[in-house]
Amino acid sequence: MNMLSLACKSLWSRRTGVTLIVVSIALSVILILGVDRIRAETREHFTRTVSGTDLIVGARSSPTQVLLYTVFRMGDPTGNITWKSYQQISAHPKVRFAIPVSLGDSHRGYRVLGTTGAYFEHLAYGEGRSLVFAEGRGFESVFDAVLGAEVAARLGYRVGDAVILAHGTRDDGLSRHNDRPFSVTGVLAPTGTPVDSTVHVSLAGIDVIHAGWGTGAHRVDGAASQSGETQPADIEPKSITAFFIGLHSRMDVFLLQRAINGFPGEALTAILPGVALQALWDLFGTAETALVVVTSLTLLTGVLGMIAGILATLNERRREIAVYRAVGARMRDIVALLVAESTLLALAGAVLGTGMLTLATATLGDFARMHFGFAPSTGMPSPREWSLLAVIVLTGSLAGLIPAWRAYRLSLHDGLTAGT
Amino acid sequence: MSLQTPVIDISAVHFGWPGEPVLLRIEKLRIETGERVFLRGGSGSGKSTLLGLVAGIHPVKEGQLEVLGCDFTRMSAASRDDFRGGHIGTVFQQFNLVPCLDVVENVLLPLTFSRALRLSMGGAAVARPRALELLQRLGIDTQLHRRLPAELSVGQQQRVAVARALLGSPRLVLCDEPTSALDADNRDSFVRVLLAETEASGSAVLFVSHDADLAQHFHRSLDIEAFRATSRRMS
Repeated sequence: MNMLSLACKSLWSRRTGVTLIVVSIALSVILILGVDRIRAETREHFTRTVSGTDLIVGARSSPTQVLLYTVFRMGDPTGNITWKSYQQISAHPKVRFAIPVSLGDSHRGYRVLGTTGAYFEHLAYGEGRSLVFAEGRGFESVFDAVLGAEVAARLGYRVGDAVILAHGTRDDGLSRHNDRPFSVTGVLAPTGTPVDSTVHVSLAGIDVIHAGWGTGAHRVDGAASQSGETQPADIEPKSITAFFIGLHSRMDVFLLQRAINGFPGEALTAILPGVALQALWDLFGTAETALVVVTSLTLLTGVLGMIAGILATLNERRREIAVYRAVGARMRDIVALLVAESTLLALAGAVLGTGMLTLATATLGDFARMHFGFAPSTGMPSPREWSLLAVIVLTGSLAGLIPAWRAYRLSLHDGLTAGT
Repeated sequence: MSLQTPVIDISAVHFGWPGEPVLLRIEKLRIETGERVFLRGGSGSGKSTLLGLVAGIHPVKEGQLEVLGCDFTRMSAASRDDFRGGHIGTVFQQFNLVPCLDVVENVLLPLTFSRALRLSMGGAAVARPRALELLQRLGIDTQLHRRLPAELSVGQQQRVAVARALLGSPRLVLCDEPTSALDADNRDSFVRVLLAETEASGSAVLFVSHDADLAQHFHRSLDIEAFRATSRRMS
């Protein structure tokens, strides 16, 4: 029998206490890997709120501001872009697609965004995942609306429901009862991005909402709805808020960005969404550091628990150690035995913890994807997680030196005569 | 008198724990091959310390201490440990066995640690028949072989300990009060079987006990007081 199987037998004979130690290490491992995975996934998801889009163009302002109002639909745009500029730029031969968006209205707390069918065709998030309709289809007429998953869920709208979209956020009957309601033609599947909390209408729809307010007074004769009915959905507006651009080749992105920033007709800002998102995320760097600190403390707790667990049993094992000494064990064998023991405990804890975490993510993954639009990835641990696991096991091994040192001292004192 | 190297040859060894006065003063102690020596002494008399010196557990700085011709004063702690595993069998008062190992595993335990023993016996495969043979001779039935020590009587545990001590046919067996946990009947039969087996394997025995009745089984009888730096009788 070698020393490793001796250590295994010894551990097995104390399996009740050992199980508790292993479970406590496993819980630390779950917390450490779980927190780290959620941190990484959140970052990943955040920085891929928009993907497949190479440039976002808005009126001249800071990149962060353009990002905030176009992608996150937060704050107000600094200004509009003329339809003419949009047409000129989107006609550039290097442009594969362009999605115009028009913002500025909201419906019961949710932003209303005017756009075209290109939005549903080309806008992507995550690793190139396109928007999917959970129900229905895109809009075809002026009075069609497509709802994000959260809007539909919170406000209880379904396909075919009538939604009254009025200019501004007021929701009293007075301001809307004469307006022609929009009808919901589609509801999008959850994405975990601001798309979920957006009401999408056609660009013409936005114009209709505004039409009654063009002079600053509500037209009570319903002329807006009358004219709206005769308008096709793809009517050309005078201006839009911003537009998303996809290129044929990503190599041209800086070329086109320079061209747009120096656009002669109008002061524009073109941003690279990935870069801007990364910069925005880095603002939250402190929160990330806090998570890392919490994680490290968790590891410390787990390891201290293990040391305490081994030390507690050491006194009653003095006779066992004296027997090993009597049959020829060297001091370094005793130390090796205890270090092997703590290594096995840490290893078992790491395996159990990783297994439980994998099981949990696999089981809860669909639930999370349904409700949050994204979920922690399942499958084998990533290289980073492997190195975290290695650190955990190594820390456990080294922690074994503390009881080993204690056993060494006891054994020096006891010699062959422990317990007699 | 044998012409072989003495099993134990001690002269002028003075031993005390670090920072404490000298405890043992052994001017001369010599045990020959196959000799059975009884050493009488009560608890706290320093007898266990003397066995620790002979077993190579405690380091000796002064004097000469040779076991089978090997000078312990010049050997490292690790090589003394290896030497002990290969050449010295030990039986204690109680708790000789590792609780998590069954009877046979306990008998084979020295092979785990002693390279010297592995070399002399040729590995576990060769040692196993020897272990089973010893257990049989000591009256441990086959059905007990897979039992854990806690499932054996104290008398059975002590006989398993003897089997382990004799595994490598050591030239020296050290016994520290091995009968103190046994009743009178078990005590005598244990000593008889122990001495029969050590004789069969040609091992010398240094047997320490407070029980003077046992001295009759031995060639020679000594008193620990002879080796104490400060004699109780004198004080």
